[in-house]
Amino acid sequence: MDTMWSAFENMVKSASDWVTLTFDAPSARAVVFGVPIGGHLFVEGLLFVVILFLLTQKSYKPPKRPLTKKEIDELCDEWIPEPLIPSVTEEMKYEPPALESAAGPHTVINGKECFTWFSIYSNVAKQDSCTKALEKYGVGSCGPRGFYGTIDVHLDCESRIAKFLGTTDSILYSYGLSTLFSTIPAFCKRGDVVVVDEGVHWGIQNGLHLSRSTIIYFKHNDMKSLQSTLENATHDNKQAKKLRRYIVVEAVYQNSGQIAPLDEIIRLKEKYRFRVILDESNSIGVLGSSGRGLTEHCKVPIEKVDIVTAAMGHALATEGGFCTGSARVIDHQRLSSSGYVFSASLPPYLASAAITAIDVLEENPVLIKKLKENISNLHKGLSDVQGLEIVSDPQSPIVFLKLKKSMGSLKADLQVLEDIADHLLKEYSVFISTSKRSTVDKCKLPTGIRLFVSAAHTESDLEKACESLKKTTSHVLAGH
Amino acid sequence: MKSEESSAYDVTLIDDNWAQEVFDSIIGNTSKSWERLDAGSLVSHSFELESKTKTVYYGAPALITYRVPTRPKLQEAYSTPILPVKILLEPTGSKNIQLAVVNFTGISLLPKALFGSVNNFFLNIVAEKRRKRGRVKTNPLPPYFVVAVREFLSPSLSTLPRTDRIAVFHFKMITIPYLTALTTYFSYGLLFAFGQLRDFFRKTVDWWSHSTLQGYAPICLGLEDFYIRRLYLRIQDCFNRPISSPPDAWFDVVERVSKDNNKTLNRTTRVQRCLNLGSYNYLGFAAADEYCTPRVIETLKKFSASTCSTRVDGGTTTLHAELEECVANFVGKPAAVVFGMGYATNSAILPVLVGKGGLIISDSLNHNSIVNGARGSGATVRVFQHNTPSHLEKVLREQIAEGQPRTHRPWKKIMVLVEGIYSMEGELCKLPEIVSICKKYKAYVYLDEAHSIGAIGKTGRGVCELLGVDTADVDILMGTFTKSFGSCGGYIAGSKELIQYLKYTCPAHLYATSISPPAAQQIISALEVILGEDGSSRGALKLARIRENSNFFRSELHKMGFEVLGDNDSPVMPIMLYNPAKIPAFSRECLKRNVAVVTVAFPATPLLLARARICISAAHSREDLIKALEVISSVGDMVGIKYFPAEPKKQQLEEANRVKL
Repeated sequence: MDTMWSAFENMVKSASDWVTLTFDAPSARAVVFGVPIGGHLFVEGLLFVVILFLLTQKSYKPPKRPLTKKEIDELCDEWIPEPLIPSVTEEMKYEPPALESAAGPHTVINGKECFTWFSIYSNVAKQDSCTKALEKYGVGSCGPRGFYGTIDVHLDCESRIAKFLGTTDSILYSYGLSTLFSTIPAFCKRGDVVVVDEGVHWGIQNGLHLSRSTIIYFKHNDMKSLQSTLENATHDNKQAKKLRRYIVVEAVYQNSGQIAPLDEIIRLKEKYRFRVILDESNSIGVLGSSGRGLTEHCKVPIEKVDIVTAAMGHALATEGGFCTGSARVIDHQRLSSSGYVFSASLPPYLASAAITAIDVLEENPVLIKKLKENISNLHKGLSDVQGLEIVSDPQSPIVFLKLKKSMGSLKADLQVLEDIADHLLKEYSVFISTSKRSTVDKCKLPTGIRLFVSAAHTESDLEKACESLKKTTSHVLAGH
Repeated sequence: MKSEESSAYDVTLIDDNWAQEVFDSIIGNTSKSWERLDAGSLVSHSFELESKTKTVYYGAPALITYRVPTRPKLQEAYSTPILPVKILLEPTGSKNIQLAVVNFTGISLLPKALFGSVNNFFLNIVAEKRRKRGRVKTNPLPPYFVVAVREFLSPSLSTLPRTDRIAVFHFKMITIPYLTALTTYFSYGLLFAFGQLRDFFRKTVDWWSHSTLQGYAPICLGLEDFYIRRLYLRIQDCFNRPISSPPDAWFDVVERVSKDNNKTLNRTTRVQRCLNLGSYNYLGFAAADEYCTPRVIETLKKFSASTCSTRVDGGTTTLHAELEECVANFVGKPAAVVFGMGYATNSAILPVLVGKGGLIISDSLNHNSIVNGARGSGATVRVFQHNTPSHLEKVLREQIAEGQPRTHRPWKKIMVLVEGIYSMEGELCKLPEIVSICKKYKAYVYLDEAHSIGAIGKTGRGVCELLGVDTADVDILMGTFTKSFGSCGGYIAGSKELIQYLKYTCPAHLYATSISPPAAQQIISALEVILGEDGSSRGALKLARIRENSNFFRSELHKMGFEVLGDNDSPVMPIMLYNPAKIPAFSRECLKRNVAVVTVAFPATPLLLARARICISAAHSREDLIKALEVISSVGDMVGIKYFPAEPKKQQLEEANRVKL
């Protein structure tokens, strides 16, 4: 065996020697810088040439054949766009009842005096100030704030709001809806973390969308869910410390009437070092012993909330919105908030109406007391409506009733609720509204009937309304 | 001798060689015909030339032909690239129409009064020769040249208005003069460097004092608010100036003082009565009006200041229904819906109309509300060059051929967003061209008439009326009430189905407080005045006034040598400033002389293209405008923003005298 193996080895060796010799032959004696060069020079040289050859070759690219003009023409001809809007269905043709008088606790609809549910404080002594402002300044301001659209009442109104709420400064927006969708993108930028309640209204949703920040939703008004969300958002993320982090909540949720537990939110915010953006649209002038909103209601100093915004179209019975907070927060918005910079300013008469509304609020604490009584009365009166349940907080000025048994879809629910509203208006002359939802709204909370309690409602008004609502509901629900 | 009631006028640029020598391409029609020119009317036609070099051009004359109904042959004339100088010619015999071509280059050539084509030819040769010899002091290419087609109605020249009949060829080329560009860059560089230095010291101080909140990222990271801190605060006093009166032709500007180098400004009780060249008070409805205000106050008493609820929840009063009908009738669409804020109209409507899988093609200089609306919609957004129909067509073709990104599915729908008057450029939208392109490619047109509705057009119906576009061809008409109507809010007008759909689903309709009843009444009353339904001719007078005022002011500014952007008839005229230091200088010096102007800088314009913006109102009297012109001229000299040579008055006088002789 051994001998065979060694014979084989010898054979291989001699063969390789032979091969080496043949290779070495042309350059056997070549010595470059004292180093004898074997036959590998030839092989290497060959390889080098091959590499060079490959390098000089163009890399393979699939042939590009741009569309010819004719092809593009054909494509353009063939393309059929969708219609601008989907075909209009019956439900889209809904026209809301038109009011023939001011929207007070009683109003005229189609010639009938009706009992209504909006305007939390009706017709406070604002008309005089409005008239004066109209006579002095005209209606519109004819320009954005930057370009001579700042009228002295705007500045007065801003400082009045700040003084009322105890903040350093505030900034006026010309529309309630645009307040949040300008404020949020002014502070939250791409990459920032925003933790949001899933029930927030469309203005906030749109603001968040425009801000392009990372949005994390937590369960509606659920503090445990908020805590775990905050924990998750900060725990894994090492970058989190360098990012701006915000919690966005509403004081009284427009979509459910629930009140956010601010003290708990502040505790969590301080623990996880988030900033809070609080929308007080439905709570200013209502919550708290003097109507200063949720912060007063929860006895939280307002400095703890970083950014407070509110629409003035609710309790203050004017229009527009404001944002208030520290001077830095406000000054930053004056050049970075698109709804402030690029939009015409609030009509001056509405700003003076806001000033008067705050004055009235401060001077008449009775109003707030009366409102609170009305709220609890209505709550009591409606607690046993068949088929409906109250989801809103007992102290919320929005009394939100949803169907106990859902009809299966938001649309079907809304249809039933609208039937109730229609019946109520026709039979009992009581005007209520349902929470209609836009197709672009991402809120998934159930729809319901919304009643806005006013300080101007009397006890008998409320009793009558409760009775008729009960009757109507049982009547309508029996039909379904 | 006199009456040319209906006669066609053709003006064509035919010398293609001339154009190709220097320019890459011609965008738009080089010829234009007018069916009829009324005495005293001012017509304009523009086309764009894309420059090869983007630098200085010393141009040879262009050959322009024109056809006059009384003559069988095409008439030819040469024009030189010159500043808008109008030269009056003596009528030759019984020929009614003359083409006056003006040659005026800088200082060396006297304007010549030349007759007929021979003279024009001579003019051409002379100019050419002088150019070759280098004797003519050459100027940078001015933004336009003028061919004046004059019809002499009276043998006496002196009684004729100067701007009788003029065909204007605009060269739309905003090229910053080299030196200006250089100094502008240098200024910003210096400001930036100095700001960085200050930031460095600030950081060092902060580091020592440890005053920042622990654990929170700062509200503004890095350079996010650098512009505000280090640039804007220096000139803060030029913006946000408070006023204490309605924004009428004259208003009271509240004086402010600063004790900490402009960081904060405090109001004083002193006011300064200033001429208002800043507000969008196009028709003068901003102040109390004899017809509108009593009605508004009546409405306030009846409906109170706010409906306190959304349109669907009882925020709809009979007034709102009336307003919607009025607006729809006025703009010429079957139906309309109104909202309480113009900005929100754009930004809340667009997400409803186009969504994922849709394409939005937006003009590059569209207003921020449109940009935000488009971004909020989730649709893909493409941009076409500002007011350039040819580029729009290119983008449309590309996009239709490509389809959606990555999936290459065909687009669901394409919407083209344009504005009637671009508020920072003062330009009119090239609507006829854009509409025809959109029709060809089946794209929907969304027209934002924020600045144009009420302000232009014979009866104030906006850019569609002015440019002769059928409103049926524009799918969605949007506009605001803030400007011409002196109120607040915005509208969307379109087909009945469109409005029904919007009312069903638009968030601004469902969630936002409805437009305040007094504001709604103001719009209704203003519309009645404009349409003459108040029983007076005030509306028509206002409309005539704003057009006259705008054109007068614009032509005077041109004559003075300012670089003014925008088109004739547009009440918005930006004057280019460029250098950052000229922004506060111009604004403050004008204010010192009791003229309040708006200067526009970075967030609203590109960084380098700072400008002052003049908004003309029907409320301005001729004396107001003359005073404003005097002030602007003297401040312009002081600040150095007359980037073009002015039209010399003396020479003109001489020339006029010669003609008389």
